Amino acid sequence: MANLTIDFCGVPFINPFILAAAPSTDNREMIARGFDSGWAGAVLKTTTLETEEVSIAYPIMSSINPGPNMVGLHNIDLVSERYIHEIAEDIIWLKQRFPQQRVIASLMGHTRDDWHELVLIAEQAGADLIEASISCPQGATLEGEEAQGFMVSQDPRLTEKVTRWAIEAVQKIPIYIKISPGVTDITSIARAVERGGARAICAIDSLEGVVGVDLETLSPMPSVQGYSSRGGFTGKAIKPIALRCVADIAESVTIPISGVGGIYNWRDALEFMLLGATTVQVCTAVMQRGYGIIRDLTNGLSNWLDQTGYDQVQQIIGLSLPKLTDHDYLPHGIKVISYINHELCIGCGLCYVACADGGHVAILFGSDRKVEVDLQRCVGCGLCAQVCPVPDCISIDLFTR
Amino acid sequence: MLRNTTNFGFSQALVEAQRCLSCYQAPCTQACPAKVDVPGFIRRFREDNLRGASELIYESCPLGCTCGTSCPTSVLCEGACVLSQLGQTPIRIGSLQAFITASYPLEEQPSRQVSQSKVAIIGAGPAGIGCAVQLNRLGVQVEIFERDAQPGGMVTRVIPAHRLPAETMETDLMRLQNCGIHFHYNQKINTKKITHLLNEYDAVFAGVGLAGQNQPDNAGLYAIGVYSALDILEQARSAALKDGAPPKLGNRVLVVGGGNVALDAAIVAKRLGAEQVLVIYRRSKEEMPAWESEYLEAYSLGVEFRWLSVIDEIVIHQDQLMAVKIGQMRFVSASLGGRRWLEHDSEIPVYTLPCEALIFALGQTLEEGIQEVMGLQKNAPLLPVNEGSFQTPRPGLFAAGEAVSGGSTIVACMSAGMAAAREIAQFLQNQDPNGGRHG
Repeated sequence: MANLTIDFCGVPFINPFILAAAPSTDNREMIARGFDSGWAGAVLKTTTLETEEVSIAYPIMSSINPGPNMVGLHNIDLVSERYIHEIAEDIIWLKQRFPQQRVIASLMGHTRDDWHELVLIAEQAGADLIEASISCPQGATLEGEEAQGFMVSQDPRLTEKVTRWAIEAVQKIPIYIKISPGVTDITSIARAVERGGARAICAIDSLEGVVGVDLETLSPMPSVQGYSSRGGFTGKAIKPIALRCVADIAESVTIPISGVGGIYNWRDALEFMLLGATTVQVCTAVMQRGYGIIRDLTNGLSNWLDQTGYDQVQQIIGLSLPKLTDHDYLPHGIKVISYINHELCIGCGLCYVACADGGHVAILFGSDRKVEVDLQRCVGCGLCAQVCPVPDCISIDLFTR
Repeated sequence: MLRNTTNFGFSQALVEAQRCLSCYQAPCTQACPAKVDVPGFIRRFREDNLRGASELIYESCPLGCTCGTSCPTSVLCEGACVLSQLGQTPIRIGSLQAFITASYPLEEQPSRQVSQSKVAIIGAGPAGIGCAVQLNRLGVQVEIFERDAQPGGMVTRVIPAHRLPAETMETDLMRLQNCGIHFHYNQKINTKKITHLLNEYDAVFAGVGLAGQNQPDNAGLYAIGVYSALDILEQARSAALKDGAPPKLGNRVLVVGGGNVALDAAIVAKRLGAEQVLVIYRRSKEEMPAWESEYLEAYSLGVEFRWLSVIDEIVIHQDQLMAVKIGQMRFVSASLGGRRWLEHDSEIPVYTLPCEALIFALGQTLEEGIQEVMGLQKNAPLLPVNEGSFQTPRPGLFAAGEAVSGGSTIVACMSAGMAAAREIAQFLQNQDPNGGRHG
């Protein structure tokens, strides 16, 4: 069986899977259950100094396509309503019981002094690492600074400055910085983090959004007595953005990455690692399906490594990065077309509609409800394969005749 | 199977709707006699546009709630659902349609432009109502003449209440209240009346259905305990929905026949508490015209079947049914006309079955003498019409529904009535291009 242990900032993890900062990590008994299930670490829900007033207005949750096939979860949550001293107690409690698991303190300060105090308390409590949160859409501003009103991690200069503030106070443990996808160039932010001396980068935080409007009350969602605020969008829908950010960061800095954003299963996790993440963090999937998914995550990853011939998960980090290139360098001029498996086809005609109105009018729909590809017109765009409801029915492959 | 409507509320409907693939040239729509845009109404429903969903249903199917509730969907829309090929159960289209129409029984609007043309419709059954609604939409003035005191025809008279609750048809009929169609009840039709209608109106549509019944040739039909299935069904429905006593059938009930009505009668007898209900059918299960879903429903209720069986003799004592003697049939090796030929199997002895009720369901026919009333020749078992135009040999007299097609479904009769309406409108147009009354 493949070795899933991994080194992140010099700290050993029993596997790459970490619970991300969220309601799932704001209660030590809950985290204990997560550790018992097999999670390698937990980033405790972001905390602040007692001088920060935190008051959450409920409900905080909304989503796209609610239910088992939820596309994305949206929240107007804030940082923990429990402050640093209380969190420090949790860190001590957890470290006593789980010496193998990594307890990561997520901190958010507004001034240099804030950061110094927060880091000091967290380290003294025994945190294994510190995650500096400068990217939460519902916070992460600087007091009395020119950045008032937007996130620290939207400005490279401020990012570097705050990174330095956090690093200054730390004695031994690694500090890494969690950054936001809500920027025009995430590599400039990543480089600022590296310049500031952080040991790693965590990407991405949630996307700032408005998930919808209740058409009965005309209130954006989730509605708090008829009002809502901009919130953080997470879950499956943000995975492509997160993957792109992780790849961008991996190509622009040398420090490791903790990948996060829409990871639901071992395949998602593997993709993050192949594009440069060393560890992966999971939040929304756990909030939807519970800590127990860790057994499927480790099992799936382990089986894939075994079947593919890797004995250490460490070996696969960044393997796909060389295959992510500029469009100019793609092999052009090679004819591929759509192949339809007629034995699997159920005759729904969805590929026909998509090709006729969104492709190249290259699928014929017969009176027997069977579809045929017009080899002359098909360019192999692949739309048909994406809309087909039958797994493996349509494939795109080299044109061989 | 029995459509489960009690556990089909908004939540269940939405989950079900989300399974629909929205097929191109959807097979469900093609299998529907009314050509209801099934993927369309399902999409609108799941996009939270209940009114729009109801609009789509009623556009093609003026009896949307009735059809959604009582259509044999397993042989129509649901039977065509491609999800079966993926090993999934078909979308519960009937239940969705019933739920949507019951939740939003969209009122039928009066026609914006009403012409001077007037059409009389005989019979407020599915064909008559389909024809009336379509003509009304085309701007033709419509009056319906119904023999009973209520609309619906066979639907409201004999379909068992457990299969079609009173409020279902009411949902569809209530929405027609203000659209401009005038209903006249308790209107008996005779030769004079037909001639009168043909003179007074620009066209007449006959949706008279099959009100007669095939009679068995056994002796002893007069005996107490021998019934016709339609009478039993009518009495049972009336008792279930309004008042009056349900039919007293006793503990051992025999039903003769293999069609929808026979199985309805058997199911009703069982539901009324008969201990043993036997269906006597002269052919095998394969040939039975009743739908598989009805057979399964009857079977699951404990109804028994005697295939290849016929009534040889009705045993009577002092005018009271006592028993029947059952003879056995067998197939002749050579078949004629596609259907396997039968003969009496003399090797198997006739046996006697004691019973307290004997219900005959040998199929419906035109009501005795209706052809003469209509002024049509009597030589055919159904009303003769020109296939494309729905016009009978008598000019201006149109017909559709079971009187023309033979035993059929509500949805098919309604659709035939709608198709006839389009032809009638064309006929009126040809008669008078300016839209005024002729003559």
